[in-house]
Amino acid sequence: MARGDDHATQPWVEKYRPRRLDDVTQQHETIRALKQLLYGSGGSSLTEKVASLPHLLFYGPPGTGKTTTALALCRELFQNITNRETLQNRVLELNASDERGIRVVREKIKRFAQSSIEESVDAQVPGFKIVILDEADAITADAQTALRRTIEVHSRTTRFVLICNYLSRVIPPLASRCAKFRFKALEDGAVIARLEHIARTEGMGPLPPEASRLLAKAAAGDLRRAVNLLQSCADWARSADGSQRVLEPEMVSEAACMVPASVVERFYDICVSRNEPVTACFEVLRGGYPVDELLRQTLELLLLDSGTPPAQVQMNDLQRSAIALHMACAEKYLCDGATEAVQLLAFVANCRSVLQASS
Amino acid sequence: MENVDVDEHHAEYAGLLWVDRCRPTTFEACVVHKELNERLRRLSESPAHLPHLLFYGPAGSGKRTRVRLLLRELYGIAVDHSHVEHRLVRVGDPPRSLEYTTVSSAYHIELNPSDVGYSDRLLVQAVIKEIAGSRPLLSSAEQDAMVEGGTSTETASKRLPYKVVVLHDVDRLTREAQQALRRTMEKYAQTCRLVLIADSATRVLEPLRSRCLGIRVRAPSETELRTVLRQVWQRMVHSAESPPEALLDHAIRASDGNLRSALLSLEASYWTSKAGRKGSALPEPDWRSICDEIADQIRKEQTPPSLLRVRALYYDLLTHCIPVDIILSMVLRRLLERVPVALGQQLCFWAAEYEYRACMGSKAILHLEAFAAKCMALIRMAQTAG
Repeated sequence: MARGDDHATQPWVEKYRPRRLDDVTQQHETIRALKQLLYGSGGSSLTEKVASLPHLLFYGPPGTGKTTTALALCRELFQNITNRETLQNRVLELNASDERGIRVVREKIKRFAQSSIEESVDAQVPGFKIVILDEADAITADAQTALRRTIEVHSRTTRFVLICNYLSRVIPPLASRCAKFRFKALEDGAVIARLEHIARTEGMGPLPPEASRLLAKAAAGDLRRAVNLLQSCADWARSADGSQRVLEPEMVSEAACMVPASVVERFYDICVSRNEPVTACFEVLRGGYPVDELLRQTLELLLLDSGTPPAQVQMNDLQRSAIALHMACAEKYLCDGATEAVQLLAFVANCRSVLQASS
Repeated sequence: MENVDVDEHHAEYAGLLWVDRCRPTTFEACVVHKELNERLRRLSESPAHLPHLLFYGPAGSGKRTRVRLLLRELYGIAVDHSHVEHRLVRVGDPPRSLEYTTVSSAYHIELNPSDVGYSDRLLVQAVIKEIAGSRPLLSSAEQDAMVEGGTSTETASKRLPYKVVVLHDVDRLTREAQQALRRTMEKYAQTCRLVLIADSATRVLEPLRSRCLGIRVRAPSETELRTVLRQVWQRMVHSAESPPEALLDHAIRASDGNLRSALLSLEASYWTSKAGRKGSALPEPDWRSICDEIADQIRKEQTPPSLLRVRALYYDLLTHCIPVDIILSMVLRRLLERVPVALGQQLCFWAAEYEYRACMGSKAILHLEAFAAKCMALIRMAQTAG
């Protein structure tokens, strides 16, 4: 019972997490290299050389499949494991964001690394355990220092897979002990393909191209975000009798906390026209749109703009870069907690000064 | 006597303000945000799939009301039996006691973690772990019904396999608390759903936003405000006629799209006019007129003595706990009404600068004063140039 219940309420990111290396979206080179380590050149049985698997370090932006790859790798490594042992005995997954600190790292990891495993008689079962350290860049520097010795001491019986977003936040001595694999942000096409697959399986019907394009744009290469968003939108769109409605683009942009294109265009107009700005700005603010998102989307319009929306505005590249600079400034201030109203007014004022200065 | 007539079956509401007494209790009764209400209702029809939610929008736009309505749709009338509790938890290492206030029913708990200041991370983790640790009891029949995604129970209170944690003012949480939330909400998604409420989504971290379904609640339009004010007036004053138009206009103009403040000022004007004072439109709140005065002073005279007078006014506001960002944006708005456009643009630029410094620094008065001085300098420069 509990199982079925779990499955029904399971988030789609978990439900549709690829279980085999081959199913991981897009990271072709990394996957090829890993398979080379596992299977040698071709074949579906593990090679002898698996025993000398190095420690691994996966890095790349969020939602690109690092954790998925690590889990799939374990699954394939221990696919021939006997019934008496389970995957749990062989794999320890530690999420650094809730259990960080030197003590936890030392005690938990050491205990796991020291625990004995069954003597491997079968060449198809590698004789080591795996420790997956997710979000390794969130581990404190002290704990990382402690780790580097632990890794070496236990390397006969334990392999480490470190996962992080930023390679620079892992201390160099730790990074140098691992084979590094970079995961790149996914292309929109790959994201859309995956979303369409999920939508079909969930019985949502085909996604309208406009909606899937927006989903991919909102996700910006982060597949987890895209899938989460799709699920939220599906909830939005599900009607009383359980049947699905067509996913409208507005729903997607609302659910993703994005600003609809019409509002962005209006704001852009405010920035470049000469009408009274204050009332118009407060009108935009009343809409409750997130201002940082508004600025981000305005930037897009600004960069694309070749004089189209309000035809009278002709900007040169110098002006454009000056405005982009002001935008960066406003973004930073907002991130640090400045007030939206003042920053928005200032941004509009700055845009206008830039445009007026050279006209 | 009069109040009792209005809400016979809600005698306990008698002492409340109009804002609270007239808060709608069903989605159908809501005048504003028709389309949004419809979507929320649809969301509540398949409760098993409810995602985490993030309500955002300006103050007084109806976020809390929508959350309450949603909870009612989910759990039935039982959520109304909620009580206020002051609690004490011991968290952290070394342990510290935190005192906080919650409103909770059997099915949900509301709290404002930013109340406890810098320890909000610990509080958020402790509370959610506590809530999520106890799963509501369900009979297997109910559980089966949940899996099919329907709501089969006809009892007064519907039963769901999770509780709801409502967090207010999420945008005021520290970064650490928001970081902690993101892991916690994934981990405990089975047994608890989070409803986050924020005035602006800008200050909610991106990873947190992406884990929630964003629900934007815009400020009500002027027509919507007018309709609500008329309805409330008719219900509370017991008259079929509408309130005086002048009164409505004033309430709406002063409210700046904030329904709560519009209702409060309507009620206040009603009581003052009832007390026999004529010219029932309320005067502006003090803090606004002081901001006005500051702007005037800056505009009129750009000298050190003038700056001293401005400082006194600033202190007046600060000692009455008016937040810096509100003072600064109000003064800026008033100044913009009084200066030429080109100068206004410069003022905006510097306002942004000083506002940022004020929110990063700790001594508000320094930055406010620096802003005033800068404004004076700019105005003086423009005058000598022109």
